[in-house]
Amino acid sequence: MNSGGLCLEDVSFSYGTQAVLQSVTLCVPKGEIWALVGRSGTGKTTLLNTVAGLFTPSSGKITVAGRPLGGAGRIRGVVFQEDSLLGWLSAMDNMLFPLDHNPPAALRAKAESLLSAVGLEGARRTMPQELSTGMRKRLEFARALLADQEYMLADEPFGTVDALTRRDLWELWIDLRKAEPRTGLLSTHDPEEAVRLCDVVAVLRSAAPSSIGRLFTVPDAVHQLSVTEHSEELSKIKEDILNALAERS
Amino acid sequence: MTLSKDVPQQGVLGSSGGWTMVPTLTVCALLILWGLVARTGIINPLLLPSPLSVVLAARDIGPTLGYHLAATVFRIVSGFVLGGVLGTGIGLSMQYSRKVFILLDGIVETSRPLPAVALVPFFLLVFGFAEIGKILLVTVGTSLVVVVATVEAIERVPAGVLRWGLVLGLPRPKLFRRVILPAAIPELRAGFRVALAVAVTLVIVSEFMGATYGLGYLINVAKVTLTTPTLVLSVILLGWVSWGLDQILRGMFDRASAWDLRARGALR
Repeated sequence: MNSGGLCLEDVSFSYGTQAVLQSVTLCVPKGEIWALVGRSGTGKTTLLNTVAGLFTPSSGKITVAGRPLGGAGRIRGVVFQEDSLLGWLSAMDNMLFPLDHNPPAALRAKAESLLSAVGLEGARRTMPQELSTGMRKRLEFARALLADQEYMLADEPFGTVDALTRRDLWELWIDLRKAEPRTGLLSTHDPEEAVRLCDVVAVLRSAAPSSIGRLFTVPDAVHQLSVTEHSEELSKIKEDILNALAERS
Repeated sequence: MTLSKDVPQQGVLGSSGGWTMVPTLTVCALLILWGLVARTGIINPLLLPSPLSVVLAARDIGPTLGYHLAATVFRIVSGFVLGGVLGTGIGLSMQYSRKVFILLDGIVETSRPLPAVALVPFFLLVFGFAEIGKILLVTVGTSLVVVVATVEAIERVPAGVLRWGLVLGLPRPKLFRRVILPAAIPELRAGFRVALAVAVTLVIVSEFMGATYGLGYLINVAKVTLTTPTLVLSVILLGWVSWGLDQILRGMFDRASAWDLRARGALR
């Protein structure tokens, strides 16, 4: 449908007899990140797990750059809500883990620069448990960017951090997107987060099984705002998304 | 930005503060109390020999005491190591392959509640006094504990860690070797310590029933000949062996899972 993009066509998924997703269709153009916004239990994580190749859709197809997804390992740039750092490896070794045993010098240099980009240049030998929650999340972002140079999936990545850390991480996300553009999806239940961080917001219908409801394209003017600034446009689109979330079908 | 170096330096129950010498002091106090009570003669010396008579019993037995001790340690360690390797292997296989799990789960779950001590007469019947019988008995008893511990430990691997390994599309052997097994090691600790206690129990019971060497044999002979100092001496030595082996095991797990202990603030 579009080159380099990430497309889902009529994707449905069931846990046994319980249908969770029904005919989900969307196509994220190359270089864009779309937000999946929905209430708790609407299948955001299931959808991301399916796109990551962890679940096989019961019907429909997922294509990455025009080719069928073909299971896990195709999209490796994934950030989870829960902690996923390997506690027995240092920050740098966590970064290099997805790569081969002897990664080329260029990739090592890239790992170093990504650690610097997320403000962890002094922590390359530090073990994950010696990092704060916010720093661990930064490390996960850096690791995901190194693991996959094209695609990114983020499953409520800011769900476990406090409000101020979340704001710092939003800034980091925006900066990283400028420096390291990726194509992908971010799930969240927070309309403001979705609007500030993504190009398009897809609302998941709360009626079970879930499907994509309305799509909101975020105006450029909203992306010009810093994470502390507000505007009428921002308020308006947030309000519209909230109203869409409240719709039952 | 600064790194958070404020890793907790105490366990969940608080720091030990100036109490580090307390365990040694309480043991010393118990020994003194034992000596005093034995000296008063309130309790028949046949039931409570004095600490001195226990030391003298060690002198009377002489160098053979070393053989008894070595035989017991050898049986515990060899059976435990074999049982640990076998149990870990079976547990990993059960989690690696759904088919293996279905095949073995019924056998493991029906064998697990059976006290392994009940197998002692059977092993004596089959192997007589032969060393192999005692070692195999310990192997069977400990492996069942380790199988269950391994299966449970793998089920408790944090979801995020497991998802990350899966997302990378690692081949299954690599996923197990590089993600699941390292993540499961801290959870294996308790199971292995229980298995060691089972090994000690099985060796002693088997030595009661069919051995010509070992601390269990010494205890049994002391019971028949009413030489309580030898009996107490053997029990104390057995306690030391059990404690020493547990310390070694804990040390090994501490090294293998230092990262987890640090995360829990248990590394003092």
